Amino acid sequence: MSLSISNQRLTTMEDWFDDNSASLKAISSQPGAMAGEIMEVVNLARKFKEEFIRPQAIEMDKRIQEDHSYLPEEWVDEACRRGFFTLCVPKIFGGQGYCFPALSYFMEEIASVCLGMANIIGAHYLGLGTLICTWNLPLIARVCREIVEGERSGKACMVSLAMTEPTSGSDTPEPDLLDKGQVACLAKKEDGGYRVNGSKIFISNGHFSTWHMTVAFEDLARPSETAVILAVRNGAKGFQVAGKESKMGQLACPASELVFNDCFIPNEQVALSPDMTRGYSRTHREIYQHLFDDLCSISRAGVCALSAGAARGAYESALAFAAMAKKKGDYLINSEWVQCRLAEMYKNAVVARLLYIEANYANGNHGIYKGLQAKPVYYALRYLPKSFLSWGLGKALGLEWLTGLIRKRQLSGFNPGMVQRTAGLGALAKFASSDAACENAQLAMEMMGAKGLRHELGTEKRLRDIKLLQIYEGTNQICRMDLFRNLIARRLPQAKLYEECV
Amino acid sequence: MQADKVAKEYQMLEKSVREFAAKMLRPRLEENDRYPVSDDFAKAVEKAMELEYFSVMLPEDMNGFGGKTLPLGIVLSCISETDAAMGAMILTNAVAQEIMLTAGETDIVRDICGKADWSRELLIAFPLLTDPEEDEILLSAKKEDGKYRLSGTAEYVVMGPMARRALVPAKLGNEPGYGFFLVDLDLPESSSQGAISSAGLHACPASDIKFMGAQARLMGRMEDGPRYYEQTCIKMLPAAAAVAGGLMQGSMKEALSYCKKRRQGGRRIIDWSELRLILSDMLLAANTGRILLDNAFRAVDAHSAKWAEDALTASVYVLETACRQTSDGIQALGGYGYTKHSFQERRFRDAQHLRSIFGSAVPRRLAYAKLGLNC
Ligand SMILES: Cc1cc2nc3c(=O)[nH]c(=O)nc-3n(C[C@H](O)[C@H](O)[C@H](O)COP(=O)(O)OP(=O)(O)OC[C@H]3O[C@@H](n4cnc5c(N)ncnc54)[C@H](O)[C@@H]3O)c2cc1C
Repeated sequence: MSLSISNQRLTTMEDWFDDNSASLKAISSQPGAMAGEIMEVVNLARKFKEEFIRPQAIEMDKRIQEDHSYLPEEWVDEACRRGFFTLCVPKIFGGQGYCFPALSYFMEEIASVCLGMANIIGAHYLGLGTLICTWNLPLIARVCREIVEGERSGKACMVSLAMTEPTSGSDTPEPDLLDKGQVACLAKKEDGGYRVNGSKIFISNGHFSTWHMTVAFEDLARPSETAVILAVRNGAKGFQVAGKESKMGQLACPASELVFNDCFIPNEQVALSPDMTRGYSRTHREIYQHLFDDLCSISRAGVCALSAGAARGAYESALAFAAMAKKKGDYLINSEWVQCRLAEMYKNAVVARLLYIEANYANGNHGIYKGLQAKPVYYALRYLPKSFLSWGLGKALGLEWLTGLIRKRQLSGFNPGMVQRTAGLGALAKFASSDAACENAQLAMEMMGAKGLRHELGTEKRLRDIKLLQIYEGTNQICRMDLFRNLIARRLPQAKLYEECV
Repeated sequence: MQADKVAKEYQMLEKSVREFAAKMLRPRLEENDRYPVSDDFAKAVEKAMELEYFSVMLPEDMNGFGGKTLPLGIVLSCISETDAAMGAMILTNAVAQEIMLTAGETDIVRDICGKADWSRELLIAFPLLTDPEEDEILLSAKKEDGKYRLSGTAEYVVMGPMARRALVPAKLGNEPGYGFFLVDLDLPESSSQGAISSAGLHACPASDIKFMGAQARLMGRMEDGPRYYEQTCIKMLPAAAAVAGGLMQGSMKEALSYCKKRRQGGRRIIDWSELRLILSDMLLAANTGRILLDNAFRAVDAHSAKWAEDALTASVYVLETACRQTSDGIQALGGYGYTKHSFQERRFRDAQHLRSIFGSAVPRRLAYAKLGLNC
């Protein structure tokens, strides 16, 4: 290996400072009322957690362990009754319009008791977030209307994200991998829409959702240039929610297999296609990458919030145990090693929380939340009556040139440096927090010994649940690569990604 | 010459165990992760008894290897590479037998093993995951007419739901220390609370057992209970670690085989250096464990000067590393590792149990520091 070190500065002071102080900028730019909203949402989550989830979580986990085909519909119904599936649907689309960062705090609370329930809600927003990231306003309006209607009728209308395929997991959201990979979900363009063949696996909430945001490809040999995102609705001919995975944890949230057999999806349900991005200043591949960078910036902050909650839950159970259990006649908590371990667990939970807070600030400063958190837009959406907003939306949707313009601006007018910042932080938040949560789960088990193995105490359930955090939304290995790509490699023209040199 | 003969015997034992695991355990791994156990698992237990895996450490006149730990280690690691629940059953039984033999109760052990024509008769349940030195003993013994009666609860008695007898520690009034008692679980004064729902080792269940004046037999002498325990514990810790070592080998092999087949980004995932490093760490942990354990078994069997330290070194390392390594075993398979498509998630759950054998992990590390550093 030859090594010649130049004086080139690979990280500027500005990069380092700006990348990692989103909160500083947010102090002046973000609307002050967001703090109040966050507290409202946290209180909703706490009430739900204490009244509904805590008393049932362990029993439900046992029930599904005994019968892996069981679907806890009653949990979905309750979340729907409490309005959780419209919580962050913007008011202009008929939802309750709580700001998106509030969702992270909400998820943290619920995850501190049951990651399965938290994922039921989180995966719904992952599906909806995917649709929002396509900026297809008429389709967003249609799906949101159904979500709101579902809540009114008491029959939840949820959205899933269907990306992973049997042969393509880590590859799918990463164009650099995707183009060398083996995707198989084909979307053939026909008059009036697409005909889809293939299957998707591990789709969270597949069995609960009405809409499935499905990633497919016009040409399997050139996937990133020909990716389409389709909104597939239950009942479509040739579409089937097939098997439900038997898995280790997060049992309340099903992971489903979706099968497409000559399934026709009409143009109105095509959220994004190469036709739509033709003539934009960026290639379809760049837009695909940008879309998933934007999505991962928010969804990985979401997984970070789940991790923060889970890390906190593990800490709380270890603390309760150490405070009550006696070893050799004295309380366990009086051992120095126990005190230091509890401090470590406390640190892990807090650091995880700080990470999603920072990632969300970045999303507000430069990312997908930026428009909604601009003060005039924020206050208009917050204080204007819903009826007025929906009238305005109706008018805007009638103006094709306007919706087209908004979409073009959002999809191709982005600033790559800003996307790198949000996506890099999202990746960092995800892998650092999920590793911290796993550490807490292991520390709690270790401290509790045989007691921790008992299902009824919930500690072993949490360990089983937490492990998934290191896998979905991009494995932690892929997230490390995303951090490198976005925050480290940008001033290194010689850096190649996903091309092994050893 | 003698050494050669022994080495050959051990090789034959390993071969026989591997064949047994491949034939009787591997084909039904998924359904054998539950209790009540399947008929096939019950048949496998009987076959393991027939092959004398449940008596491998007994004196030679009882068809064992004369108290040697290495053959037990071979049985446990080879079986647990496939199915750690079966490994845990053999281990529990061996620990109970060892305490009884240390207490000088050879005749009782011979009686139990000799008479067994049905598997349940041979099994001796034991609270393998508690340390009577650390954990509060909730069981008390009372002497009446020269006989002992037990009252209270024995917690987390491994094989409680399936064994005919249990060996449990109990205190005599307010006297310091404790003794070990053999008690018949079929007595009306013993009542098991049913299998404890737990993280792993489902086919080797534990239960809390309540005794209401159940007649029991004291093993050895009352005041010597702690000595029997301590002697057995250090000697048998490597055996417990062998179960975890088997889990690590199994996890590493399944990860390796998957990573050679699975392709992402146009190449086998094993060819991504980051994943290769995970596999390398897994291999390192499994092999280090194997070498340390081999050394520990030999030191224990030869009563070498530092046998206790060697036993603890191997055990502390393996029992702790297995939890991390089996987690990496899931990671290497991505989503598939998290589901029941593979056995990685089961190994991860099973490893958690092993960490708590003979009490929780940190006190064990503190004991290790005391012994190893003489402080
Ligand atoms: C319960 C559950 C719920 C899920 N929910 C959803 C969902 O709602 N929607 C959805 O679309 N998907 C979902 N997934 C899928 C999830 O996102 C994938 O499992 C994940 O992206 C990993 O893909 P994979 O399982 O195919 O693993 P693989 O990609 O095959 O990875 C296997 C191993 O190889 C490593 N690896 C792969 N490529 C590289 C590389 N280039 N460099 C270094 N290491 C590499 C990985 O890190 C991992 O360790 C879910 C999965 C599970 C288990």
